Amino acid sequence: MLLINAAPMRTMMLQNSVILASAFVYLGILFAIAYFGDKRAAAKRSIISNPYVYTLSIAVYCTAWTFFGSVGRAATTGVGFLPTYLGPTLMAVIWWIVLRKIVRIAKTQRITSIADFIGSRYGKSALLTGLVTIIAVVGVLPYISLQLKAISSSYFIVQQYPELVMPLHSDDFAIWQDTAFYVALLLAAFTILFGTRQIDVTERHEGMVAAIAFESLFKLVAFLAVGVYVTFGVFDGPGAIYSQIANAPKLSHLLTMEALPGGYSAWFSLTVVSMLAILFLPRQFQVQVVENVDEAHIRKASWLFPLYLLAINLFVLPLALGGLLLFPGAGVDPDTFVLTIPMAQKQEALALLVFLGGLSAATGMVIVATIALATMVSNELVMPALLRSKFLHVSEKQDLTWLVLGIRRSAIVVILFLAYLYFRLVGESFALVTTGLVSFVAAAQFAPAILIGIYWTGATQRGALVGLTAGFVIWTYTLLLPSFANSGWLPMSFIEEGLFGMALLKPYALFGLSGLDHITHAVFWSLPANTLLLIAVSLFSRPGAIETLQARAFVNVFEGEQRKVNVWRGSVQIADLQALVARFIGEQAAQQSFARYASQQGIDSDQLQVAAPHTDLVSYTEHLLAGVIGAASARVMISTLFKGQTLDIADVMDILDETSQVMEYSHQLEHKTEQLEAVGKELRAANVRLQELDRMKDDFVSTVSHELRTPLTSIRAFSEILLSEPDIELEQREKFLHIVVNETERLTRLTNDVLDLAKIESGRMDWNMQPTDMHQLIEDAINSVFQLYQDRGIELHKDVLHESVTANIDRDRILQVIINLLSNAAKFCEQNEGQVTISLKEQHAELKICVTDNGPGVEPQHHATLFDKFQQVSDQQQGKPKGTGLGLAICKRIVEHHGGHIWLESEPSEGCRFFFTLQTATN
Amino acid sequence: MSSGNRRLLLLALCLLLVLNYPWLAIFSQQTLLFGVPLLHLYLFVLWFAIILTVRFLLTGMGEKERSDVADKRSAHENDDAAK
Repeated sequence: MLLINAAPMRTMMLQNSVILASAFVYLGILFAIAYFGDKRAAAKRSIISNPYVYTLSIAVYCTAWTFFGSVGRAATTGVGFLPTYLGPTLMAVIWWIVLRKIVRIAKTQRITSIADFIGSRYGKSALLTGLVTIIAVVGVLPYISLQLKAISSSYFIVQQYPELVMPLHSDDFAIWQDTAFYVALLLAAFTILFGTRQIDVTERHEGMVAAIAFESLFKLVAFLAVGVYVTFGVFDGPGAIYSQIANAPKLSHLLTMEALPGGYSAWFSLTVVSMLAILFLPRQFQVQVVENVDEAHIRKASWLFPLYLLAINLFVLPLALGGLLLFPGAGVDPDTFVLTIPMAQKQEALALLVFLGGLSAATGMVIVATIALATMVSNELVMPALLRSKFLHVSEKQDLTWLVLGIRRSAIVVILFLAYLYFRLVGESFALVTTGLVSFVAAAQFAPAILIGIYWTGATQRGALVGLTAGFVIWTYTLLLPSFANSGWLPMSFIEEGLFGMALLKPYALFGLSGLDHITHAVFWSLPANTLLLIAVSLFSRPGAIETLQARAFVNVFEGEQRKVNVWRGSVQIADLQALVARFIGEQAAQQSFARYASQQGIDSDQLQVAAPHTDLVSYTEHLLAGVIGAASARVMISTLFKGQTLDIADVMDILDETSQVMEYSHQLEHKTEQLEAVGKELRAANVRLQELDRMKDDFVSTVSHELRTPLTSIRAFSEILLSEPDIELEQREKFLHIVVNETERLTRLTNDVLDLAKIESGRMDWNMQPTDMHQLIEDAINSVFQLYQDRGIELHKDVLHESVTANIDRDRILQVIINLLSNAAKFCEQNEGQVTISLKEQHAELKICVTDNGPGVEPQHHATLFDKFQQVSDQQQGKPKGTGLGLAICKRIVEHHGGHIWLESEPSEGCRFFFTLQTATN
Repeated sequence: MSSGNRRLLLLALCLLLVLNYPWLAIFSQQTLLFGVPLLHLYLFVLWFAIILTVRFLLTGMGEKERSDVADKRSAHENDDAAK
């Protein structure tokens, strides 16, 4: 097509200068919006932080393909243009699940592009990111060329006003005569101004997003304007158009699915490919994931974006069918109906608006796509190569900001030039949508690696590499190469006879699969091969150490706050880290970033010189760098600092262990807390008991002291009397001496009792256990107390078994118990009236010995305490208690040591019965 | 997966069914309804219904989650105040 074109009947409105001026004014407005957006972002008052701008920026999906191509597609296939928009609508339904996860991962990992995302998931592999970058660039070239074609041909057509002339094939001109070439140059310059003015650590372009949102609004308004005009201005509403079409025999098939080549299978494959394209086209990933400000915006975008799609497609069918009715015959390309109908109706202003709308749709796509691709090329392809190359010594250079910017600018120019070449060599022969779909299938190849990668930790780098490579090779073979053949750059025999004349290798009928349209055919082979190989190879390969870490970080991104795992071990100077960052983002920005980190972590940055214990800081630096040059390059750069301190498998296992240990530790801590609580309870109980015992010990000591002092006092008193009054009567003297002897005996008894008790209680008592005849024992006891009973005139009865019974006991101790019980009984009975009985019975392999008296008895409340130390039932009538108060306590301990019990049964004034049991000696 | 997410996933699966063969073939007729071909009418009306449904599902979920977050936040604030 020619730039210089003299048209005689030119009106004022559509003079070449007016068209060009309005185009430049439009681009100027875009630039102003971008500038304003960046200024506001710098001032922390973002204009893009709302779901509406987010939705409009996603609408960069609608390009010249939508603006011009949809109508062209509808004019030939009826509803065949719709899967491209129904697919994204379907995907938007699950955006809240899938896209939100991707956005969350991208934010935690500081992802800068789709290549970075895939590379990071599979162990920050430079090989994989490089492959993804190449696929992305090659895959998107047809798509960009489509925009160049749309801009140049719409410019050509609108120039011809009022004539309707279709653009010529450009083969005949040299490059410098071709409008599309200048369009490409202009777009390159514009994109460089737009997207690479500075380097930001977050790799976000707020100004660009704002401008894109404006473009989306503008193209929607322009398209709706022409749609409404044609439907209601040129025709009498959609009903009129449809009824005319229904009556036209050649056109009526457009109302059903018959018009779609490939039928329902094509419909299905186009839907699937579009579902994947809306997420995984590099520019869609850029605006939806990288430029996302707040993941909550996805909620509104999930229905607002489909609404936008619905709105922009509402008039596609009326426009297409109307165009067919207005221009019967093949004179006008349906891809240009949007522009040619208003021109044919002499609507100059509307035609200009449509031209600008098409321009906005195309430039939006080109700007975002090339920025995304240029970032990928520089971060994932060129920088890692430069940094790794020992020959160039790039990694030692001081200031690299110029290098990064330079690479990106060159990448933009190269990409647009390649797109222009594709347009010139191939793209012109095809309709807009056909060209665009080739790119869609390429972008869909990223889907298995990402979708499987974010839900299955088992997917490995090798699997992703093999899957992607297979998908890309099949795509190249079944879509890209045939398009070269169709344009005459490869022999047609390649398509018609297959590679080397092998029919099985026909690119449009691979392995004999024919009957599908080209896109469906390519989708059928590439996507399943990609997916199945990814899964199969993953199952048969082992992930590397960093891969495993990254896989977990990606898949489990929603499970609680991610514990940051620091993979860098060893020490490095902080100054080195800062210098490294400074080389990419500038000295001042680096200083600010490090100061911010220090203040966040509460570290005094002046004090700190070595980052060894703060490997956090190293990871932080890696993240900062990843934002500028991508994860793969950042790893290379950081590793240059850790000379010889690379991460080996043992280190990674340490890191993994660290995480699991922390979890294990917190589990144990919980368990320990419970145990501690239980122990604490026991301790408190023990303490209470101890305090009780302590009190009892104090009581015991004071009681014993008291008991000792009483006899001592009387001994001393009587001794002093005897000493001071030598002429005391003999009778009196004898009486006194008798008392002294008695009291001394009492002292001895008390001391013996205390010693016995202490011995028993401390376990130092020697027990002399031996079989003992119980009859004999009782007889001995009776003999011992005989004198006491005689003195007090108390009768003692014996009621024992006839057969002889033996028990394995310490004879002397049990004798002591029986004597004690018998003495007590005698003491408490009335003189001359007392009746005491000792009985021995055998019950349930136990011997039961009972001492019964007819004394005053014991009140029930004293039964339990009677066997405690120094518990004596004081009785007003009886006055001073008899005995030491230790006798029963000693009895109890002796009996219990023999495995028996001692207790009493008694009612006041009915006497009492003391029982104790012993084990019989078994054979 | 929360119940809201399950609903969205189910909706997407149902839509894949009703937007494909053979369901779509029912509407692929040359009949005009309200002056519009049946197929076109079906697709656009369904499209609009999808938008409304997603809006309904996500707005409902949103309010619930937002109030949950608010609860948590106020709980945190109470904790802080207690400290």
